[in-house]
Amino acid sequence: MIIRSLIILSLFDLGALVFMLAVFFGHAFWDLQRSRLTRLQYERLRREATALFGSGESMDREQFEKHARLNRSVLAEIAASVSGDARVSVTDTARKVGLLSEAARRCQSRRWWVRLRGVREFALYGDGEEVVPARLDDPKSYVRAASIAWCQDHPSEPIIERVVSMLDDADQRCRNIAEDTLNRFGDRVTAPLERYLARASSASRARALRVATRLADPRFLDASLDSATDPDPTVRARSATLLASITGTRAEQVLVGLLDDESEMVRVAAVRGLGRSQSWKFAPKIARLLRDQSWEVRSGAAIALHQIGPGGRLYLRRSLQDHDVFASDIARQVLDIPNE
Amino acid sequence: MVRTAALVAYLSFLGVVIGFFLVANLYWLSLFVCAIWEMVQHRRRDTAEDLRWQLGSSILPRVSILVPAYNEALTVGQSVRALMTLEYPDLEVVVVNDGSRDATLDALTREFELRPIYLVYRRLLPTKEVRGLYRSRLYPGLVVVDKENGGKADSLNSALNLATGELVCAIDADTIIEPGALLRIAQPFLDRDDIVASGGTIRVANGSKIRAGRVVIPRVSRRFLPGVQTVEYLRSFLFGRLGWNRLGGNLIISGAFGLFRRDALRAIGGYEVESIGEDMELVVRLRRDGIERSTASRVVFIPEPVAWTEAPETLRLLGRQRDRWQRGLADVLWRHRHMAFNPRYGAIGAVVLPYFILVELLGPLIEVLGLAGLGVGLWLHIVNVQFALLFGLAIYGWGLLFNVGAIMLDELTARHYQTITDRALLVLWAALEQFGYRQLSTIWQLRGMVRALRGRREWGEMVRKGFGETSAPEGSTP
Repeated sequence: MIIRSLIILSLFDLGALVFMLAVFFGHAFWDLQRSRLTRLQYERLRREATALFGSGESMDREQFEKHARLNRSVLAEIAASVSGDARVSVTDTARKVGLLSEAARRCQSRRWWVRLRGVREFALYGDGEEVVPARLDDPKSYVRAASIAWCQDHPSEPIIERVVSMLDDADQRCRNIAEDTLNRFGDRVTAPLERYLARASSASRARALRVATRLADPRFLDASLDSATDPDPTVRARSATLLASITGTRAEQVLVGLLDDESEMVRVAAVRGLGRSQSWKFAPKIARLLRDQSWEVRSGAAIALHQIGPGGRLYLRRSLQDHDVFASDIARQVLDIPNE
Repeated sequence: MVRTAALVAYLSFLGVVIGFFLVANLYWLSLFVCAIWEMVQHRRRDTAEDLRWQLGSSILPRVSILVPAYNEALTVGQSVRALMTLEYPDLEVVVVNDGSRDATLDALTREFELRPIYLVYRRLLPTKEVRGLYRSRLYPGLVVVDKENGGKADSLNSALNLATGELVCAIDADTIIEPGALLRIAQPFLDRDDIVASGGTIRVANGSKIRAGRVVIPRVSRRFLPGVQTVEYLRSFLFGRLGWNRLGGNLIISGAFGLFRRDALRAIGGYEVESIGEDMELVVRLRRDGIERSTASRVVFIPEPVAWTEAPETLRLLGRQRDRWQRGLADVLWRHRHMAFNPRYGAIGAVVLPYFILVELLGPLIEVLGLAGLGVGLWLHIVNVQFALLFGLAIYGWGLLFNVGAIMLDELTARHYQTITDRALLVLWAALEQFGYRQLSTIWQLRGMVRALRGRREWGEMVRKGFGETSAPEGSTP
């Protein structure tokens, strides 16, 4: 009984081994043969295509189909690294030879990985305005994320509005890519983002505030003032950072108020924001935080004082004699005085 | 009567040995199937993906690469220069000169124009005394810590105190990282916020052509020991760790290349300096802490990011390394013994840790006892030659099958090796790994277990040939 089981096991083992070795060597020979035959040809086609696209012309279908498989790889390689007229030529070629219609068909597939490939092909070759925006609602997050990345090269008003709304997508990758895409759009985002911030819930506000901080537009003042009293400390901290980037008397007043916030994260953001203003008038208020319970706040305050300049450094030097050892220690570190 | 009792005892023993091999092979088979499934999913997600657009992105968290260096004067300059040119938008490199007895610090100072700095940082993790901090004038992202010798874990803790990146990447000073690997290994952190660590594939660099700190032509070593280790690493990473992704999660992120959430590491107190297997211990503690406090604890492995390491080329060095790994494993399993078979820890307690205890820790002992028992059985004519041969064939045949499965998976996905000679060598080493090398490994592992029981904790001095140019210290667990 045991012997029989062992024989069956060994035979199965042998069969699987032969199969795997056949797959391994079959694939190895096929790969080797293919790369040997095509390496030189590929180089030649790439040179020709680069010259063609560089002169602003596109490849016709007949020319493409002579070496369809290789030309497809060449086109993908070039598409990833060109812009301007050459990029237009690449898109034009992709359209002429049917790559874009193939990508459009893929985008309609029932299989998510095929749809994903379709969207990525549009992102690579360009075009896709008719197809890709619908994929922003795809049930699969990978496809949605790829569609948001596609939007980076298609900043129309409805697209921007849609990407802003994806800041609270259910999937983290989609939220991250939406944020990155909005950062790349620049100040075209200001109006839609302002509208979004006016209606956004506390939970979805933090990320939008981070995008707004990069824009540093005074139109976000109202939204940041609202957020400064939000129950979520992350939102309050981001609001402090945004206020610091907007600057102005009103923003500074609120920032000073946030120095006494109960959350360490908010105090750190506020103190850093005031440090960036480099205004000596905040030095006494910041110096108070050298005695804060939190190391992050203390170091933030010390660095802020250092950034303020001579006025701030005066407070740091005074703190060297502070009876609070934490305050004197952080002042010593920031003033670059070695520990004795 | 006595004869019958002895026969019953022998047959029971044989039953235990057969049972062990069935369980072990069932584990490996499950891992292999899971690895194939994971690889298919991974390929689907990665189809036509080009991550280069992320190089200009603001969403990638800053990464601090932590490089412990001990007596690396000859290689450290080139290694650090290669790290500074990795494709990643926001990168910091923290090199820790762990009280080197050679001119490691001088080499760094000369190569990168270091100047002393007084950084404001929090000494959250206790370490040996820091003698000085330096920043490069050429690369402002390069910080060097000069400290008293305290070992690898202590150096990493020291670097952790200083790291400003949201993510930290722990590597060995002699690890060669592929230019795009960091970008890939950071992707899971963009996907989910419950991930605390991600690991990538480590490959054996021996035999490959290396230029300016980069593997330019990957080759399979023609020498026996590095050759079989190439297959061993492929098996360990491509179907071992990939399979664990689906079967309960990974417990090991290689010390040679892994990415961690900095705050999670700090929250658990950083690396355990008393542990010999500090990389595995860290991951087990991260996962345990996450489960106990209901916070993030997911650890993932992604097959593509590749780092290259130098495998030991002599029996003496390899034996020391394997001995140390086994002691490390025993140490980690002992420290976290209450997690095993404990339903509170889910799949880790029920599936992953039992595997490490039964197959990885006790496996060598059972294998030796099994073979000895088979010999005794043959001698006493309790078992016949046919059974012994078939049993041996089943054990080693399945081992060979998993080796070939790993190289097949590599051929169908990564295709790092380009020539037919390299591929044929892989098959040869896959076969020889089971006959000779496996038995040697078993002996080293047993020695490690004995030393673990006797409380031996030393790492052992390890000298390496270097990548054709210089020498480097011992690498980490694959």
